[in-house]
Amino acid sequence: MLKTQEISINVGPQHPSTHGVFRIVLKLDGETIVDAEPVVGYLHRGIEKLAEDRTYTQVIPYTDRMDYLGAMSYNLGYVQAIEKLMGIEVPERAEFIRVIATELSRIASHHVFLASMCLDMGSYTGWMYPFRDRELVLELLEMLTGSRMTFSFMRIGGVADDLPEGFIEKTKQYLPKILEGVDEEEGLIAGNEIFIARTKGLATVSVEKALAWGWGGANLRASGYKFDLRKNRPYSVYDRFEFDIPTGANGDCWDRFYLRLAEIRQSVKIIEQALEMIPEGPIMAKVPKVIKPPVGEVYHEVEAPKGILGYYVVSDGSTKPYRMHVRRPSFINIGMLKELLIGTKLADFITIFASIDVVLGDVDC
Amino acid sequence: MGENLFVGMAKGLRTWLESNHFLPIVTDVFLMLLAVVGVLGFLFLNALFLIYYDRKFGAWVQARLGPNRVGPRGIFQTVADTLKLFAKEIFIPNNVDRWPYLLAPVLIFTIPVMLFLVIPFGKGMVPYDLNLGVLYLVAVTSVETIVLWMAGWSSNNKYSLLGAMRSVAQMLSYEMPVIFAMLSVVMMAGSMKLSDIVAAQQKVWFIFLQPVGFLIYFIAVNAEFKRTPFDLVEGESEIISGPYTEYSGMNFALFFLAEYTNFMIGAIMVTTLFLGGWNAPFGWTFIPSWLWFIIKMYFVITLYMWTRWTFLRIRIDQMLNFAWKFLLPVSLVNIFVTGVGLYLYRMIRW
Amino acid sequence: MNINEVFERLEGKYDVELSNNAIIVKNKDEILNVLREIKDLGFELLTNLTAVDYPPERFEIVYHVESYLNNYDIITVKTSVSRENPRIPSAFSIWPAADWQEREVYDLMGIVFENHPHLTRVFLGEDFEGFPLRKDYKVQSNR
Repeated sequence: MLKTQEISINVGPQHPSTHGVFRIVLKLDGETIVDAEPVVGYLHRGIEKLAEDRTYTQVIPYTDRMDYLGAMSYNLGYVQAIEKLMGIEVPERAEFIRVIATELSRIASHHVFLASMCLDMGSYTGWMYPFRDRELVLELLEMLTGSRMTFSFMRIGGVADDLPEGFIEKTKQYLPKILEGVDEEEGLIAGNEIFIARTKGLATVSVEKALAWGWGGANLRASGYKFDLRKNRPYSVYDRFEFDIPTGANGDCWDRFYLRLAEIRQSVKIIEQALEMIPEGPIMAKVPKVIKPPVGEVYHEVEAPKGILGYYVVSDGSTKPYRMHVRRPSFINIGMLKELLIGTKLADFITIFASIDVVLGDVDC
Repeated sequence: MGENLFVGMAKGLRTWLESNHFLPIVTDVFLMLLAVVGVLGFLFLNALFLIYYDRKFGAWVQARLGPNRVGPRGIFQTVADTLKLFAKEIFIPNNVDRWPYLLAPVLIFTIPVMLFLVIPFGKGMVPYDLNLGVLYLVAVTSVETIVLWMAGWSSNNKYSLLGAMRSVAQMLSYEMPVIFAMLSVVMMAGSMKLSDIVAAQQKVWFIFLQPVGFLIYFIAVNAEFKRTPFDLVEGESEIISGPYTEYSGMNFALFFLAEYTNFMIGAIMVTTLFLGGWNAPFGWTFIPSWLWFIIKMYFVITLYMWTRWTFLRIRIDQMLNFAWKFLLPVSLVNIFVTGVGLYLYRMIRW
Repeated sequence: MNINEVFERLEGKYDVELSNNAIIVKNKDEILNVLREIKDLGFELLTNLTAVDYPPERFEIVYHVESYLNNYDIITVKTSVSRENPRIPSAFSIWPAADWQEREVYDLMGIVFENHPHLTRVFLGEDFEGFPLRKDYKVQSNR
């Protein structure tokens, strides 16, 4: 009689497909996962503590560094939270620029998602094509903000800079290319038999389960529940645009993947409308030189590429936040990982982990 | 004139040696050694080019440039890479099982070289025309399993072990369809000698008589030599590099080279068994047979690269299901149909 | 359903108070009952769970609860625990979402969540001393 044994393997923190530095201890029976223990914290910088020692404006660059792939939403969430606390009315033009920038950054984030999921599943080609298109988006963002990833573009009361000369024309020229690229990626990846066989029916999450674990945003929509903060509780000027909310059916890896493809198209639609509707005017509200919100607290949620992003800021009336807590979508998403993994194969771990769309800078904060 | 270039050279050499009254055994050994050197040279040069070609082809598929710095259009990139690997330290981790660990890279490269012994490269250009050539190929290829297992087990690394386990499962499963697809060809040709098989395809290539067998063989050989979508053994996003994880420097280069040589063998086998070997199509004999062989080989290689850069990796259970539940039954049916067909053909033959 | 309606349901049954747009649960041992009651009202999502340090006497635990299914607003539920013995029942049995968020609060704030299935440090190593988000934690600054 042969004796069999479970082996425990330590995946990461330095591993090709951990999206940063993530470690998970897997217990394997052959290739089947019987137990999993995620270990995070390798990127923990203590942003919440650092924020307590910075003025309100100085916190903005830190928000970029949480989810560095879709940083604009993090800027937006933070400045809106502070504006809500202080009651600042932001000029129209600034709101439109914010929307354009946020949606561009959402597209870039989704491109990385598509690319990394393909790479994790063994397709280099599927990785190359989204990155080719992401380059276009980054070019636009660089034109607008001067940097490619960590923008620090938004200010309390507006944005740092007006649209540069030629930006609107260039964006109008690039948007069709992005759409073309999405079609191409859909044909290449979504039409691939092996891709479908590997993702369909894997790690199914029902709406109830997703909500119980706090999932929101794209991952929740993949389970089939139509809820988008941009539509259901519009912030900024999102209520003026026409766009659809794509939803999945089963909440499996396939749906989570396909949803992002569809979301890129909707974001392009929003940007197109915003470029048409953008009014003239100032880009900064009248904001005091020294930002000193009144005593109180605020909790503000926005729709980030990876889920619902929430900022909880407590002010004691001084120039520095008394306490800042960020509800990071990746941190919430990763909570369910252990549940999803048990009973799947080792190769599925990579797929599932890629499909719930986490970035470790966001998990660890 | 190109047709008899290599054969003529060998013949001339033999005549010259014999006229100088060397012992016949010395002449044989000398010519044999020359053949080995020729095959090795072909193999190395081809592998160097193949790696370059693979990267360039991949770059083309992925809408990027590929290597373009070393030499014109980056043609010397592989040479530079090889030199770099030569210069690297061969690092041996603690607690490895030293002998199997060091032996594995040597053996892994020996196996594909051994396979070249029976390959008919052109008209009359077989290093050694074994009359059980097909059996020899199957037998030697399957030894690779043991070597990969050696590498994986001795590395003292769990990823290596997982990779080795995968390689054993994969090679054992895909051996069956490979053998059965080969068997259908052997039945048609009536011989296990590779030169006979090529000769039997003088008029009609076996790809037209055995389309199902060709497809099975094409897929199964891809799996046998662990190329995407069957590259689970390496699976770099899951198990780092499988059995190769703990190897560095030239040891790693040998694994790498062996992989490409295997890839070449796969293409050569498809060419020989199904695409008529060195036979010229449409009677275009103005191109020498060995050149036809290389052209066909590169055609098959390109097909394999195309699949490689398009598909992604399949999962282990899907891989095994595909072999045992689909390929094997289909290949058995194919053999049955071939047998019945041959019988009927013989009966009605005038 | 907004916070006033929720408060009306809770008032009388529990020792609660409405202040500054937040439901304050005065007795921390009642927190689980209050949360369960809120969940039964249709708030199926625990969005955010965090804690704020108010030295010298208390930590404030903040729950942000909302509903997507019924499209209810975010409501804030707060309770306080003493700084000497920061212990509070875990909300994991009500919302699994509390799992990692409570671990985070435990890790950085040092509040112990009773009956949590797996209360270990998330970010910091097990050998890390102190709880960095507390106000009296000395930061080694090189600024």
